[in-house]
Amino acid sequence: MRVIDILQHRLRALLRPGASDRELDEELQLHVDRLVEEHIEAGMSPDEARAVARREFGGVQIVEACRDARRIMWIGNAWQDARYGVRLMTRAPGFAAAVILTIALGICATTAMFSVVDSVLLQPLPYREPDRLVNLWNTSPKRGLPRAYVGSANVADWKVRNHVFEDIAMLRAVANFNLTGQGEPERLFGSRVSANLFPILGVTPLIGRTFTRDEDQLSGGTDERVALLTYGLWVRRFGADPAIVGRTIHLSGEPFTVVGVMREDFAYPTREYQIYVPLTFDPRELVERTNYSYLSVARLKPGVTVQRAQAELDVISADLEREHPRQNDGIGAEVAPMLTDTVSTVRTPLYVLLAAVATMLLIGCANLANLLVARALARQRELSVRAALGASRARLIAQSIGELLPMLAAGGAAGLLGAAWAIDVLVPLLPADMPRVENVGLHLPALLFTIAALALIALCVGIWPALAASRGGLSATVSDLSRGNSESAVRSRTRDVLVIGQIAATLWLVIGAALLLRSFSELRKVNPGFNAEKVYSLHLAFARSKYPKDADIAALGNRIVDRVTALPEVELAGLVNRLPLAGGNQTGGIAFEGIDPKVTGTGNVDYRSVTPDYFRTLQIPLQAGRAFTAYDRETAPAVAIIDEQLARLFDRANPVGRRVRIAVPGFDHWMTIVGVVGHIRHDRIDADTRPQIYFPFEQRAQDRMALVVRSRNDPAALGAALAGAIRSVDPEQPVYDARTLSAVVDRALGQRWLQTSLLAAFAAIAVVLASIGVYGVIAYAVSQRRREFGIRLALGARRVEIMRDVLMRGLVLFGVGGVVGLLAAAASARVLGSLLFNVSRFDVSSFAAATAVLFVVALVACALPARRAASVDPSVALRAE
Amino acid sequence: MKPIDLVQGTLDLLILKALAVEPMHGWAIAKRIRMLSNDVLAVQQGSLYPALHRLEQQGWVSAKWGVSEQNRRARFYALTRAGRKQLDLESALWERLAAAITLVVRTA
Repeated sequence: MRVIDILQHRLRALLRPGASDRELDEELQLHVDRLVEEHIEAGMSPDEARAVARREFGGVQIVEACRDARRIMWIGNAWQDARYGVRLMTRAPGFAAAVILTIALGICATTAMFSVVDSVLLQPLPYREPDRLVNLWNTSPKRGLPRAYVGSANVADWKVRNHVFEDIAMLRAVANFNLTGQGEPERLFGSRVSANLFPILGVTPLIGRTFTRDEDQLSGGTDERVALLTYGLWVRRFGADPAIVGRTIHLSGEPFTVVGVMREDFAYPTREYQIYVPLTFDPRELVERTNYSYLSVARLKPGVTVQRAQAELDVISADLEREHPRQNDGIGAEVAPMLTDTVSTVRTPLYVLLAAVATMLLIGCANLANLLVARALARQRELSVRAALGASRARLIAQSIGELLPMLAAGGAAGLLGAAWAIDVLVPLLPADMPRVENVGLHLPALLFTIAALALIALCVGIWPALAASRGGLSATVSDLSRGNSESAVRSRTRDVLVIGQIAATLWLVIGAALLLRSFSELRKVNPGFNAEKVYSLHLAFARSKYPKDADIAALGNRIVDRVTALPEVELAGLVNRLPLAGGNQTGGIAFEGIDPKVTGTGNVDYRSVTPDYFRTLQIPLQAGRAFTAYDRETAPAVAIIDEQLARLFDRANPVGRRVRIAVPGFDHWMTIVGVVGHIRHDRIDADTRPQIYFPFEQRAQDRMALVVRSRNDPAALGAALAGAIRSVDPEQPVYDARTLSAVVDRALGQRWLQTSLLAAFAAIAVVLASIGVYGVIAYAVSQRRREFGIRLALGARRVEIMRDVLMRGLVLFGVGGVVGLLAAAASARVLGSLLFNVSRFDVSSFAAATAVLFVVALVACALPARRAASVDPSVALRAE
Repeated sequence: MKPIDLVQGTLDLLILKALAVEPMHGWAIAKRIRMLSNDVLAVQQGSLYPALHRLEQQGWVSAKWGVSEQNRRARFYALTRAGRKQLDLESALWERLAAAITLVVRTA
């Protein structure tokens, strides 16, 4: 009770000081009146009585003393300062709007960016004790593979021999299913996983169960037709039917029993995966030791470090190399912490962008500090008098921050709302393959970050005016005032330092943006080896249950190509097992007859199965020999086409007519090389990963194919017609990931485009902020020197000289700031360098262009006040004193 | 004889004591203290009101607006439960102090 009473009382005193004061007055008045009455009763005249009473009672000090007793001092002060801040805001709405807008922009950008960094890089993965989860990889540096998918035989050996992992799971991430039965046939991204994946991750299903050891081939079980659904698939496709467990669904034509549904937040390996079935593989793999197409996840035993696990796998790998010299030659292993591994591609870009927005915020803060210093100077007299009356410097700083509070609160709130909005709008624009993109949102750390940022702004910005006002003490100020309000040297230096900092930081940002822009334009110039214009692409997955034999699939593919080519708007069409730049690959080793594959380094090339018109559709040039034809059937002699990079292995000899085979031990199926085509960039535009070898689709049919179609007109309009043509061949055939090939290429550049455009946008904002800063300082200096200019003009100085004077000051500021900025950019080039493509991190043209842009902007910002200085009317300027 | 100014720190005790009987306003408190002390102790108005507000801050007295005997609005102070405890505590302290001083003065 007492505490509540006290709180109530104090709050009232804080919130309604006016009301409290009025009550106090009334209370004291009563007392005075009684005193007067008493004196009159004692025989004084009323006037006399009043005078005596007043003297007895004492003056205004009682009121003050009561007030002090009532108030907890500092809260009262802060509240008072904040209220004063609100009054200042309403009195100068333009000023307040500028401050609030700057804060809101800065907070919005930094909070949004920090949210992404926090959600993607910092938040722990949503699994049990995620720090103990690691991804396992094979390595094969001899074959030019710093990292490869793991081989099933190796995982099986690791499982038995290691002492560092609680358990090791293995999965085939890319397992695709055609879901048929209810509604439209649909293509699902799924995973075949070993049963121990779920316990290793430490996740449990929402309903039903996960897989058991009996259903897991890796643990010696049998391959059962059971499936686990993700929450999203369950809701979307089965209406969140709680009776789903035990029901049969049809995947690629085969019945599977649903055993459970995962929880909503489960998105492993990424959110694209919607269904899980037990991992199956051919048991011969464990003997042949050649299938490297799995992912592997392990849980470290408690207390085991990644380094120790790595050391043990190194030993096991060396043993395996000795035991299986043919298959495991040069095969190593890598242990990578799961979180780091998952986000490795985006770490540097995200931190660079965060640094950029933080810099932008600081540049904005410098403007605020300048504005506030200017305003503090206008209130010089008030502040000096307060200092003279005993207000401590701390009290003045507190006051200056207190006055900022309302604007900080408004700007912070607006910034947070803006950040929430920006995240909502931007997240769908992020590349879908960006890791953990589904986790992006405003989490608690981001809110704490915002509060910290606001506090930092308050300190950085609020401290300047108070320092500027209190420096030099009263005597300096008084003499200042008597000199007629000209700014003291100390204070103008403060402002200069702020502007130099702004210029340096802005130049740093602009150079970064220029480097990334140049890098991006270099990237656009790269010829991927094919022509994406006017080409439409889509993906098909042929159901093995319906078309069990390769010949059936080949026939189906050919029918589809024929039907599509017959469309009037289609010029050419072809099938390929992996679409360039669409993610996903199929690779392996090849060996040329008479050449040791160790010499050629062809341990890992792109395997492509294509129909005859594929090359012409993508305009991949035929350089020698012939393309495939309809006669290269399953029954015809085996043939292959190699790309120009492989052809170079024959020196200048013609490879056409030579023989090649897939480099699988015991696989002696020779193919005759019939042609040489141009090389393409398959995995990514910014790196040339592997050469290609092509096989005729009919001789090496694949059930996962992409259809490419060269249109006579706008390719984007082709989608519906193509889907119709395919359905007319097989109505149950799903079509997915349909888009123009140009869109596929753009998507491949998506992350780079995003980081480039974001950094460019931040740099542009920084330029605007810095130009405001430069303009503000120069304009202020001009207004301070009006009298001087007036006198000089009156004494015969030429206007050009005055202008030059002002411009020189701007140039000096720019020069110092520019040098600092260039040095900073050079010092931090190493970080940015990893994001650049074909551009040196010290690229002179980028550095020069950035400096030039900023120079022009600064010149314009100085020119306006310089012109005003030159147009001073001497008589007016002198009279104004 | 001229009234004696209060010993430092005893004002709170006197106010609490005065309020022990019934709630009253500032003027009445001053009067009551003077009366109880046979006109020996005079409370300065300049100290009374800040003290009342301080006691209110500490939660030992609570204040309510009421009507005075002359039908004017007046702020009535009343002892809270915590105030009563404080009164007991300070009374005991004072008695020990007074006894000790008396002892010293008489012996000397």
